[in-house]
This record gives sequence, structure tokens and C-alpha cells, in this order.
Amino acid sequence: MPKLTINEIEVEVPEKATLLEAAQSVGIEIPTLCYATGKPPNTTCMVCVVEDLHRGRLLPACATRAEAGMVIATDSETVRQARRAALELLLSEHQGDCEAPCERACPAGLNIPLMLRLLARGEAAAAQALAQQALVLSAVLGRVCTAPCEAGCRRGSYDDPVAIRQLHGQLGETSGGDGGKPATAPVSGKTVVVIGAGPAGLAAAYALRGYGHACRVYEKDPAGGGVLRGYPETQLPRKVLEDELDRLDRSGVEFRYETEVGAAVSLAQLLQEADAVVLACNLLSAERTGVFYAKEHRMPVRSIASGKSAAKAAHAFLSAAVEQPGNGYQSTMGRLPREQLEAYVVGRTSPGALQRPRNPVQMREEAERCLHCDCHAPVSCKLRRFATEYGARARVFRNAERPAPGGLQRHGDVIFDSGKCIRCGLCVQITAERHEALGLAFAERGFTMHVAVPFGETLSKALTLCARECVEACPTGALAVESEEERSDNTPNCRHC
Amino acid sequence: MKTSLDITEVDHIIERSSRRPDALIPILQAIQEQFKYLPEEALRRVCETTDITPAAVESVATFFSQFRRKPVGKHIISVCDGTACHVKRSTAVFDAVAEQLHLKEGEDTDADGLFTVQKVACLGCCTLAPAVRIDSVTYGHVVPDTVSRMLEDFLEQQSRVSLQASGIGKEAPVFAGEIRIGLGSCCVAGGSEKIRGALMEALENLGISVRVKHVSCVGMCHQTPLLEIVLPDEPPHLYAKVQPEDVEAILAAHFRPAGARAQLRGMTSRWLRRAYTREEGDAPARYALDVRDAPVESFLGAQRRLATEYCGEMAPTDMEEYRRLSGFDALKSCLGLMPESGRALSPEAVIAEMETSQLRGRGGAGFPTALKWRAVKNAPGERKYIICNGDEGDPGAFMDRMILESYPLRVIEGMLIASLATGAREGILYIRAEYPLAISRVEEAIVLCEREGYLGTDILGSGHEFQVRVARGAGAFVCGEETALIASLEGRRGSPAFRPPFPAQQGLHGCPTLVNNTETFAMVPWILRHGGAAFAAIGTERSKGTKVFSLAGKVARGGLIEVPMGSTIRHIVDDIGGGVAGGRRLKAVQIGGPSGGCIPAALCDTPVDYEALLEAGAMMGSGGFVVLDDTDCMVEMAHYFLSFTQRESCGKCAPCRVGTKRMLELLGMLCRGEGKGGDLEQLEELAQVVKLQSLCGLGKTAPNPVLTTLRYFRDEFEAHIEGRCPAGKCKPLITYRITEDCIGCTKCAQVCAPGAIAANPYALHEINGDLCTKCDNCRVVCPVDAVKVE
Repeated sequence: MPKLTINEIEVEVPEKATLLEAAQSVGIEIPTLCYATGKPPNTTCMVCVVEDLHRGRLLPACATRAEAGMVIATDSETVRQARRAALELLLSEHQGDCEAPCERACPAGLNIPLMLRLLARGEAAAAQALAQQALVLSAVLGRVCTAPCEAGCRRGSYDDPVAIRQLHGQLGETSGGDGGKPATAPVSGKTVVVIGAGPAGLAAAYALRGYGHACRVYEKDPAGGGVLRGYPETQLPRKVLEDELDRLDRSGVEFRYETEVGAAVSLAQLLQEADAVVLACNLLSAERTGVFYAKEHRMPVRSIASGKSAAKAAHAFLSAAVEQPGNGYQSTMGRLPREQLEAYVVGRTSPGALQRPRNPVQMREEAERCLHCDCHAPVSCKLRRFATEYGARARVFRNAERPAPGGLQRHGDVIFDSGKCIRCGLCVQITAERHEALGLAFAERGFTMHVAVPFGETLSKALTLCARECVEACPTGALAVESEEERSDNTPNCRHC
Repeated sequence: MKTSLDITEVDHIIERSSRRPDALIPILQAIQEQFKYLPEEALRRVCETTDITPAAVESVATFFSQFRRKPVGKHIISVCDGTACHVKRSTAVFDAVAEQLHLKEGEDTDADGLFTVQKVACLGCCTLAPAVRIDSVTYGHVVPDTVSRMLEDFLEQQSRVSLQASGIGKEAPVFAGEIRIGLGSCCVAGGSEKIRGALMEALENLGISVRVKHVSCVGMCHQTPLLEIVLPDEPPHLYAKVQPEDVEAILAAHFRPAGARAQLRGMTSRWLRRAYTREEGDAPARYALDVRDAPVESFLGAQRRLATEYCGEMAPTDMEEYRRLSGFDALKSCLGLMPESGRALSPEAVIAEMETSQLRGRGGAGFPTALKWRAVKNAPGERKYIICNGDEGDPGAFMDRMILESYPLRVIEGMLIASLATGAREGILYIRAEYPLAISRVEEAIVLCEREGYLGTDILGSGHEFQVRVARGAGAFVCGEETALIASLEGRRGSPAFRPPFPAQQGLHGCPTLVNNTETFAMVPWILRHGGAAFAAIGTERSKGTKVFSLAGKVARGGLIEVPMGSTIRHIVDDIGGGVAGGRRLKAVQIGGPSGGCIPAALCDTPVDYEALLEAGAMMGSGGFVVLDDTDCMVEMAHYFLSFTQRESCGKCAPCRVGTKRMLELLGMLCRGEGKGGDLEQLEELAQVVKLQSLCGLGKTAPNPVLTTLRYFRDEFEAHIEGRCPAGKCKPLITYRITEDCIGCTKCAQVCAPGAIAANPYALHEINGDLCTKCDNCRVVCPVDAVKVE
């Protein structure tokens, strides 16, 4: 029974235990990508390295046997840097998007691919709820937004972008009175005052309700909407705006119109009656505790984004919670040439966008055009989680060449996206263990080494026994079940919550 | 080449081999030999009829560079891009071959399907640099200009093959004295086969009966082909760089033709003419080398031969002679069979002797050999293996090849002694497929040993069992790493495994396995014969004995040398190597191949010693010793070595797979003049990551050439960032210009392929910069050094 020290904790482990097992036995976590419990170590990712303080070496914890007298550090600066370096190298050959370009382009951060998938599956209500949650004024934005999402849409480089704006607008307008309430947290007992009922103010108020706070909106005008009232009727019919405001009303936001702050009530007064104040009215005040700012932009969707982030800051202040780490790591693959897009288009409705998808069937068809180019494993992807945790930097290497992506291969609903593969070897190991007739193999060597099906056969022939097991073992989105995993907006990876 | 596939051929191959997974590589090699590539149909057949899985076939067939998945031309041209060839412009040779075959970008086979051209890591003929091998014929000192002649010569030879074969096999009765011909690969490539043919013909013409003996490599590879005439009561006469047409003249100088009159009648007029001119004093004296001549004396005299004992005197597979020269004495004394020796030595006693010798592994890392042996001896297990690692993949190294070609019996004896010490009953000589001569010599030696009872189930009646076989490496540098080597022997990709467990505990098929380098085994008989203490008396405090180096590059006299540990680099370059060739200035010496480093001229007093070399940033490595002069760009050298390791990385661990690629990209940008501030720092940072976090020795040492060049030649790297290449090597950073010194000889215009120089006799020539491809041909041919690189 060797005794060793890990992070200054004395550990005694059985013979032949690894450093990883030794650390786990005292509750110390070590990140691993290529290791699966109970299987022989692959030692390919080198993310699990720990420092041998006696000999100054870095050792892969998954494969190194614990020896008596070892002094190991799992969280030293050296280790953190080594892990970050290993991750950055892996990411430099990683060919995939964590989030779809449309979503990244949306200032309000609507999970567009998810909305489209819900819609395509016929879950219009859920799609509407998602859009409303993110955009607050999804129907209004369907009329007035400049739709940066559509400019980013990858399908746009193939034929036409998906009519995203049209779809969420339509969803908002046809949903009637439903879906008005934000998904609410338990009532907090706190009150926040929002000044200004323009898009930013409305978004802040709606979001604050979502956090469980009571919310009062002061507006100097007789009605809400701010700049939105400046749009011509042809573009934004009054009714669409009024419906939207009604919805907010029903969500429990209290509106006090024709009340100008500074004249009728002072900011100081407000701060006494409320726990926090969000200024969404171009009214400036000195930096004060409990006062947060939302800016009205010319692009309504940016105003909404600003309102939401002010609400988020106010909420963090009120709940004394540590603000969630900001952006998760973003892997991006940039523009793809048309021939690489072919693999994504297979099985999607095509071609060409419907100009005005009106009825539910048309909407569904339009939603089905989405290429699902966002990651299929947004929750289980360990690569992104560790990249975020260790502060990996994107694009550290200029001119970094990536292996040519093999494109997508499908086997039923199992997808193999070779660009996202980190060559960990787990699927190769599993197919061999399970005696798949064909299985998967590493082909070639060095930088061009990749996972391939022998004799260029299809994925369906390769995975006849253990597709599910391979998907579960895959540390990234390379092997995934299509659309099985969805990032809810509470996933820690999400940058918007 | 087969057009349609005869599947029964595949079945025969499998029948001759085995159906176990570990037969995969030999089966693939046999299939490729049969079909010249690996047809998918054949591979599927293998999976159907053996225990080998499709996944194994896919992963192994694409891992090793020997295997081809596409049909190839009738003949394969391998252009060596080893270090020595690289510094002698092998890239230009490759381009010339491609041009000659009218290949377009990305093509490797000519339109007629006659030739396929490929770059290979190293043919191990560094003294012939740049070397090209067509099928099994090696051409040395190839320059772009001579490529077309080389191809013609090859095709001509092909048509003559049947004629040549008929002349071989005649036994000449032994005459007083003997004629020795070097038949190492270098000599063969230098033309010794042709010399042998001419010699046999001349002997027959002249009616001379003399023993013609093929001897091991003399090591003087810079002088090949060598012919030595040894007559009783006369000092031996050594002729260097002999040409076939000189043979008869040389013979005439030493032998009196039997029945001269009768023979003379039958001689050709050409021979008569030559004989008379010889009478008039025009002897081929320019080829004569006397062993007592100063250059030869300093080349051979400064060496100390242990592993290469009897170099140039002994026939590689002459069992009688080997025994006469104390061969197998060491084995016999271990077995207690020598008259003066007492009882048989216990395994521990053998190991103790090795321990006294302080021999360290000659593969590069320098692990004490005795410790390894003891670990295997003490490891529990009925079945144990001994592997002789002859997978010499370093570009610029050919020690293992020379030792295996010249002293196969000695290596086998070393393995036999190791088997006594460790209790192993099976041995494998793992030799690169690129060394066909070494493989056939070793196979011949194995047969001899089996016949004479040195190998088998009851060796020399001692009851000890030891059998050996040859496994051919399939072209992967990483298989020099012991765990990767073992993986490939088991029919898997040559990917290293994390150690521990070390092979000594858990090696081939999970059994304790001793893996030693070829040179290490070659040292063993000497040690057991002379005692460990005698070995330990040679060398430095921590590095004992001698070390074999392949001395090549920009050195006057290259070759295979063996020097006592502790000799300085300067001594090797200046005294043994005769200094830098062409009167240029020594810039650095690259030691240890792609795992080693560049030691600058200023540190040339560094002794050859494991620790001293490590301290200087290099590594003993397996013994590549490449001399660089002032025309070599160190950034380009770093790029060259890293591109080798990057290409040879197995791809298993991320730091090596991706890290070396990213480093190479940075170096590539520097060489193209696209470097930026901060690049050197990022390069250093990355080098540390690759060094510290890679899984195996290949990755851990891959950054060494970059780190040493950065350490000693940082100003050169900085110059590249500023857009200059001080050595004038990096094409995007240089321009060619003809100075006023031009005498108008038009030589440059004649060699300028793109036509950038117009021939203008007796006038100052000019280079059209728009057309110039910077091939360097003009500079090389200019007789007055009027072509300047800026």
C-alpha cells in the first residue's frame, strides 16, 4: 500500500493504483479527456498531467502508477499552464463551432438552432417560449430587427439563410396570450425599479421578473415602447406592439406611466423604496451602489441585450451571488466552402428560403432548413468545459493549419463529425473491445492521423454494436446523437445567463 | 506489375506466414512485394482468412511509410533526404527527377507508369550524399545535372541483368594472396559490384587464379569503391575510387598472367593499349592509397575499433574466419567451453562483467546495459525475449546498417550472451526494410549459426536454447522507441506506450523483453573477451568504451568511425574527417540526429560523452555526426529536423502531434520571411510544452534541434525576422547576382533550367530575377565565384 502526498494531503492507495485514482480517493478532481474509468489509459490528450515535485516532471495522472513517497501537485501554476497548453494545442486543430454563427451574431443571444429544432419537431409553444425568453419582444423584433442572425446563417453560403427573424416574429404574433410569463425563479422578496419603458427597460423588467424579483417600471410617456413607437404602421403594426406590452403586463411587471424621474420622484427616493434601480432612459447619474444602466441603442435588439445584462448585474447584486463566469470558450470554424457544406445539407429541406412562411406547415419546413451546424454535444463536451475552466485562448497560433475535415458521417441519428475529433482513442478502443466486425481505426500517422472506418466503409457498418457506448465516451461533439442534447439556458457554458 | 489480382497469391502468403494478429506486418510486406502495393481486395482477403481485424489492417497499413495503397510505377526511385543528403542539395535532385519524369504538382508516377519517385528519410549512405536508390540500385553523389544519365544507366542495367547473372558463381582456385573488395552498401553504391564484375572478367582473361574476398566495410566510405590487393611478403595495396576500366591495369601491376602468351592472344586491343600505357608510367596511381599515407593513417589510426573490430579485413559471413579471429570465444567462455576458462559463468557473473564495463546503451539515451539485463533476468516469467534494435531511422546515421552488414555474427554472439544472462530463448533482429543488404547478411549469418550449433535448442551442447529471426521494420522512425517497436512486432501501429511498465517487465506479448541497440550488442563479445575492466579503462568518467559515429556532411573524409569516448568533436572533424570539405569554415556539428542538437564551432572541444553532449543541448543519440559549414542556414536546419520529426510523429499524444506541427509552421514562416516579433518566444514556449508533455522520447527530444539552434544562433533567427538569411539558403529571402568577376564562360547559362541567364560568350552575364528559381546551379558551376547570393 504505497503512501504518497497529493496537494499536501497524505494518501494511501492500493498497489498499482494510478495517480488519478489516488487523487480521486481524496476528492481531488483531475480533468481527463481520453480516459474512461475502467479502461486502460490512452495517454493521448495529456490534459491530466500533474507535477512530480521531487523530480520536476509532468506525469499523465491516468497512466502513472502511484509510488510510495511521491510528492504530487495537481493544481500548481505549472500544472495549470501545462493543461492550458495541451488544450490550446487540441483546440488549434479543432474544427467545429461550439455555438452556431447565427446565435453568436444575435446580440440578445437567442439559441436559434434550438428554436428551429423545436419548431421543426412541431413544438411551436416551446419554440415561442424560448424566443420570448431571449428576445423579450420576439414579435416586435420579427418586424423591426436588422437580423444579424440571418447574415451569419451558414446556410446562407449554400443557398439562402433560414428566415429566422420571420419565424420568431411569426411565433410571437400567433402565440396569442400564451407564453407571457417568464420562466420564473422563486419569489425573492426584492423589488427593482426600472426607469424607462423603451426596449432596454422592458427587457430589463422582464428579465428581473424571471429572476423572481418584483419589478416596477417608471415611464414619462403615457405608454411603453419608446423608440418602437417611431416605426411606421406598415412595418410595425401598433397591435403587435400593444400585444407585446400586454404580455409584459401579464408577466407581473408593474408600469407607472407619465412619471418622470427627477420631476415626480427623485432617484434617491427610488433607491429607498426599491432594492435596486435600473436606469434605461439615457438619464445619467453618478456611480451609485444599487444603480445599474441599460442603454437604448438604435438597433432594438441591442437595446434588449443591454437591458438583459443590466438586469443580470442587478440580480447578481441582489442575490450576492458570484457572477457566473462570462463567456464560455468559443470554438469557431469560420466560413466553410460550399463543398464542405454539402455534408451538412444532406437530409435537410431544400432549396431556397420560403419568402413568407405563414402557416405552421410552412414554418416547420423553413425551420427544417437549419443545418444544425452548432455542436451536437453542447452539454457533455468536456473539451469546452476545460477550455473555459483553464482559460484557453482561441487562435493562439497564427496560420494554424487544421486537418482537412472529413465532414459529417451519419448512422441513423448518430453523427460523426471528424473535425471535432481530438483523437483520444476511446471509440477505437471500444469498437475493438466489443469486437465490431469493422469498427473504427486510427488511419495514417502524425498530424494527419484520424479516426476512420476501415476500407472506407460507412459509419453504419462500423458501429453495429456499440454506437451508443461510443457516443457516451466521446469527450467532444465528434460522436453524438443528433439533437439529443440541448443546452438549456442554465448550462454553465452559456454566456447569456 | 500485376494487372488483375490473383487472390491465391494472397492465400499462399498467409499460409507461409501465420494467422495470428502479430503476423500482420510481415503479411503486408509480402503482399506489397508481390503486387508492389496493397490492393484492397488482398487486404480484405487477409481479414477474412486470419485473426487480423479490418481495424488493424487499416491502422497499420496507413501508419508505416513503406506501405502503399495505390499502384506504383514499375521502378521506384527513392531520393534520400537524410541530413547528409539534405545539406548537399537533395531537394534539387528530387526536383530534377520530378522534372525529368514530367511530373505535375502532386504526382509521383510518370505517365508511362515506369517510375514512381519518393523522398525517403535516409538510405544510410550518407557518405555518398546525395544518394538515390532505384529499386535496389543505389547511386551516389547525384547532382541535378546527372539525373537523366542516372535514369538511362539504370534502364540500360536492367536490360543487362541476365548477362551479369551468368558470370557469377565460378569458384576461382586459391592463388597466393587475395583481393579484397568492400561490399558494404556504400561500396556497392560506389560501384563495387561493377568492379567485381570487371575483376572476375579480367581474372579470367588474364588466367589469374586468386582468392577474391568480399570484406566488411572499411569505414572509408568517402573513397569507395575500394579494392585491396594483399600478396605474401608485400604490404597490402589499397586502391580507392576504382573504376571498372582500371581493374585490368591494377591487376597487371601485381600479377603475372599464367601462360602469358596464350592469354595475351585472347586479350582485347583495349587491354593491350591500357597495358602499354601503364608501361609508360600512366598507372592508375591516382587511385592508390597506401595505408601508411598520412590521410589514411589519420583516418584509421585515430580510431579504436571494438564493435567494428577487424574492419575491412573480415568477410561478413565467413564463419571460419570469424572463429579464427576470436569469434564466439566470448560465448564459449561464458559456457565454460574455452580451454583456459573454468566453469560456465552464471547469468549473474555475466551481468557483473557487463556492470564492470559500465557499458551504456548505444541507442542514444545511455541507460546502463547491465541494469537492463538484470531487470530482465529478475523479471518473473517463463518466456522472455531479446530484441536487437536495428531500426535506425535517424536521417544521417548508418552505424547499425554497417554493423549488421559487416559483423552480423558478432551481433548474434552479443545477443547469445545476453540470452545466457537473461534466460531468454527467443531473439528478434528488428531491421529497417530500407536495409536489404543488412537483412540478407543477417539471415545468412543466422543460417550459418544454426548449422554450426550456435543457435538452436542445445547450443554447443550446453543445453541452452536460443533462436533468432529477423523482423523487417516497415518505415517508421518512432519504432526505434522500444515500446513502439514492440507494438509493431505485435502487429499494431508503432505508437509508444507510457512507461512504466518497462519492456523489461512487460514487453513483447506481455513477457519480459530486453531491447538493446545493434551497436550495444556488437560491443558485448569484446567486453566478455577482454573483461569489463579493459572496456571501462577506455573513455571518460561516466561514458566508457568507444562510440561508433557515421561521419558525414561537409567533411573531407566521411565514413563509419569508432572513437574512444572523450574524443573531442574537433578531433573527429579535423583529424579523422580531414576538416571541412572545400576549404569552407566549420559552422556547427549536428550530433544525434533529429533528437540531438547543433553544437557550434566554438564548442568543438566538447568531448563525446553522454553528459557533456546533453549539457551542450545535443544528445549522443544513435551516432549521427553531420558536419555543417558556413553555407548552411541554421533556421533552415532547425526546420529540416523538425519537419522530419513532425512527419514521423506517430500522432498519439497531442503535444507531439499538434505541437511539432505548430512549431514547424512558425519555422516555416521564418524561412519564408514571414516571421514577426514574438515568434521566437512562442517557438521557445511551444518547444518547452512539447519537450515536457510529450509521451515518448521522440516528442520529448523533437524540440532539441530547435532549442540548440535558438541557443547558439539566435542572431540568425532574428535576421530572418528582419528579412535576411545570412547563409543565403532560404529562397524567399535571397537574390542571385553575377558580379564583375564574370569571365563570360556561359557555364551558368547552360545549367540554368528556367532560362534566367542568357548565354553571352565573353560578356558579363546577368540573371533575370523574375525567372530565377534560386536553384543554386549557377553558383555551383561558376569557376570564378562570380555568382553572389544576397
